[in-house]
Amino acid sequence: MSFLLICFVVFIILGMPIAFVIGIAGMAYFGATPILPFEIVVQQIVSQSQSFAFLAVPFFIFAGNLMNVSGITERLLGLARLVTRRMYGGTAQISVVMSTLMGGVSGSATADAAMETRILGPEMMRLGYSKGYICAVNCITALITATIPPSLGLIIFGFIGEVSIGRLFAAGIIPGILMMLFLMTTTTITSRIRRYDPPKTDAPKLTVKELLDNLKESIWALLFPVILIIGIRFGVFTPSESGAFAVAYALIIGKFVYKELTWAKFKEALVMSFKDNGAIMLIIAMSGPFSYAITWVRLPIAMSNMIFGITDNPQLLTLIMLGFLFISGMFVDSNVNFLLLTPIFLPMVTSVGMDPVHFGVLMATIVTLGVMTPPIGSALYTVCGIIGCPPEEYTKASLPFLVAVLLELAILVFLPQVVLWIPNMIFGP
Amino acid sequence: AGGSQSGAGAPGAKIAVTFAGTEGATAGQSRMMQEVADTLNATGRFDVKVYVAGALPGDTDNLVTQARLGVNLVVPSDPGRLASQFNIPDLNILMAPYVLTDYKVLEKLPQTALYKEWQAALEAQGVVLIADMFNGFRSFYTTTPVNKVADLSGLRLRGFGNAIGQALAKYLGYAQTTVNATDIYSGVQAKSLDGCEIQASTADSYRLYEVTKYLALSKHYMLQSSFVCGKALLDGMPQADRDLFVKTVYDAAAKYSAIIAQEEQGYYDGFKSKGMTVTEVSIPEFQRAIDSLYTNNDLKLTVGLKDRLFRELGL
Amino acid sequence: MGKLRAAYKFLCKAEMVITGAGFVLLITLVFLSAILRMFRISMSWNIDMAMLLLAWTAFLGADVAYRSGQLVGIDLVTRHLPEKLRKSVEIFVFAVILFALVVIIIFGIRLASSEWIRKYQSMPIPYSIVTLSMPFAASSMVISTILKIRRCIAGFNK
Ligand code: NA
Ligand code: NA
Repeated sequence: MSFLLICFVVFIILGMPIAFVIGIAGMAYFGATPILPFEIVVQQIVSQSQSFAFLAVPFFIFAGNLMNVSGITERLLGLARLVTRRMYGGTAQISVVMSTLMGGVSGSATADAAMETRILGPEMMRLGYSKGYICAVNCITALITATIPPSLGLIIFGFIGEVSIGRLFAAGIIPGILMMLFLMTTTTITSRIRRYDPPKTDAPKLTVKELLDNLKESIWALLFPVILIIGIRFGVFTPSESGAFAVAYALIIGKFVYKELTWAKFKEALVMSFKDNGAIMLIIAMSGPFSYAITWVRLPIAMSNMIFGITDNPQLLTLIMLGFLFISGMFVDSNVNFLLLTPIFLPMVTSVGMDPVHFGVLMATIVTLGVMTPPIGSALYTVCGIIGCPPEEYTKASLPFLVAVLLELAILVFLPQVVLWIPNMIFGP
Repeated sequence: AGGSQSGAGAPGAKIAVTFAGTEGATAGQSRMMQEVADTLNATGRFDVKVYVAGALPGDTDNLVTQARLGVNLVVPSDPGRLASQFNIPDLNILMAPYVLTDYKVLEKLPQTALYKEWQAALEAQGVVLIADMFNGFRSFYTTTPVNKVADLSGLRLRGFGNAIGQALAKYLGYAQTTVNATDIYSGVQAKSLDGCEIQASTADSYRLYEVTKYLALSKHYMLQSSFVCGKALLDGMPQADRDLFVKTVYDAAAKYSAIIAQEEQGYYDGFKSKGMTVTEVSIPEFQRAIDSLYTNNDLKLTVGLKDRLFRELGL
Repeated sequence: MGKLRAAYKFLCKAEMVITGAGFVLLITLVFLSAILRMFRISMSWNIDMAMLLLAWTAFLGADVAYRSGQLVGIDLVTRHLPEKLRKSVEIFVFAVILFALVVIIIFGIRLASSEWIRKYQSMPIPYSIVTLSMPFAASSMVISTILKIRRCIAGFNK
């Protein structure tokens, strides 16, 4: 295990691409453990890519790229500029609202973060936001996607912990909206301090006529999440498949409504998408042998055993666990955290009287946050890769947003009735 | 990192074995593995670890491959998976609809010449089939009432995507749909699925009773957990330990077959109390409906296989 | 040399076309299977096929991204090193990657051939075809890595 860690640290410092760092560190463990043959390295790399739920990621990246080249994004931004012209950090605010809307469509925070960075990144750069701030806003606000149903995290937690997925879905709604408000506030404060995108004082107040005129053009872009939500609600496609419909919708609107999509632009979006997808997927795939190694030595279990016996106050215990998950999420893949720690943590918290649905929403959120926290996080490297931002700049700019998210979760620990209100209303207490 | 090391180290050292399954911690299969571990560890000869709920990364087939490559794993697979993984199509008959209908035949199964042939075929490819355990019946969970075969007609149901699953859908008249197991709940809720065919313990852990209000007890597949390990693992054990190991797994499988059968009834009662309508459909009617599956030999089984199996089982 | 360069250019182009076509096919497949389900038409190999396409397009796409320098590392430390030392470190890092890729190719092929008999449960094709996606893409990455090393060496004294 120490060989794995040494390889990991050394190669990270030497600037090796992160996918290879993770892969080679995992391989080092296999090399030092005679009972584990190297064939498993390749098996684990490939099997990491074999997740149907993951399809939402490449599809929503492609949809985002298509929206960029076919004029859909431009219309959305036109509307955004109109609505937010008297707000601090207007374009950044769009990212927050958009993630909330996208939350009802996609379960993947990484996909959402990638799409919005592609869409909003160039515009934000033009308006003078720093690269670090652009990545931080688009990445962390995508966490809303992971809270509002349908969410991959909630599905995986419900499956492993044998907790009602319907209840978990319903319970995610209020924390998701609350997170939107927290992040909008953070965006206002930070962009005011950094003087980003200041409100144009001479801009006239928005009139209804002005808004309606703009909507005539932008309505098709706005309908994008709405149509996808309807498609899922009425059973045309599953959340995993929704990305394919997002692509189809972007194609149809771009080609036949806005008439801006050409064959050349389509090819450009396609190449960009499979490159983005390949870069993300290589990191995820290369984490396979690494995850196998740390499971093989039962590292997460040994670490979590330390938590036993500290306290039996349910709120305090939950806070400790969320803190633990936050730290382990910095280093370990989110799926690994779900798989290994749900069976350990859930019985512990329910035995002291915590509601499993309440805990599930908090756990799914903080575990998903792990893909956005340094030093290892697939969403982090995705957004930084897209606009070429040094990860340390991202880290610095993301701090206020991380604080806002942690604050919201800490508050929700003490307010079970807020989380459980909707599920109790739908399914009964 | 060679592939031939076994779990045994120096003489007198404990034999390290790892059980790795994908079912949840409370599932019968997982409890059985834990009990085997406890029994073996108590002898002082073994150091057995158990991973459940897919904690050790990899799906069942990948875990079996790892065992074959020399990792000290024991993995619960099933006859259908082993059939396609090791190209032994005849093994499919153990999972084929309405061939085995009573878990008690699993006691006799290991003594049949047929089973021994399959074991030899697997061993030739480096894996040992230690024991078969009953793991529940699969039935139909639907949003509309199913009282007879015709009621299945046109429904979109999630089931096995393999040859057996496709043949079953063909003869029972429903549209076999492949979605991720974790998408069943939301798929039914969103009306993109009309239900699924699945075992009671899984239906319970996915909380399907919240969305599918009808259960037709067709019991068409008798599921089995087939415990397999790499040949190298067993060959590396001293004979006495090897016998103890195999017997412990074998006995626990028999014990838990009965426990799982008994608990299945408990699940059905639980579904009723949660508001599901549980229907005892006419199993002979379902059997007749899929008869052509065997006369047309959709599963490409050796001719006369079913008769031979039944003869050897004394049925 | 010119012929070699032309062959390499052709391979790069072919890789792009294959990856792009696979990506479009993947989306079409998932889209169609949802539509067919709506019309109650069975499709049982859609997930397995989609996963197969995902692995191939993802790993080939990763090579395209690698070649165009899109795979990012953390250059927090190396950025402050003197020019020559930095280039030496770069060559060392690429050499380690090269070694790892060769290991992946050898054991990937060994794994694929050792379970060639294993079929997909829903399709009559060997499961090893998905396993081969990684060693295949890794071979392509070997070429990319060698070219990166060559570029480093060529630019060493500049
Ligand atoms: Na966002
Ligand atoms: Na969501």
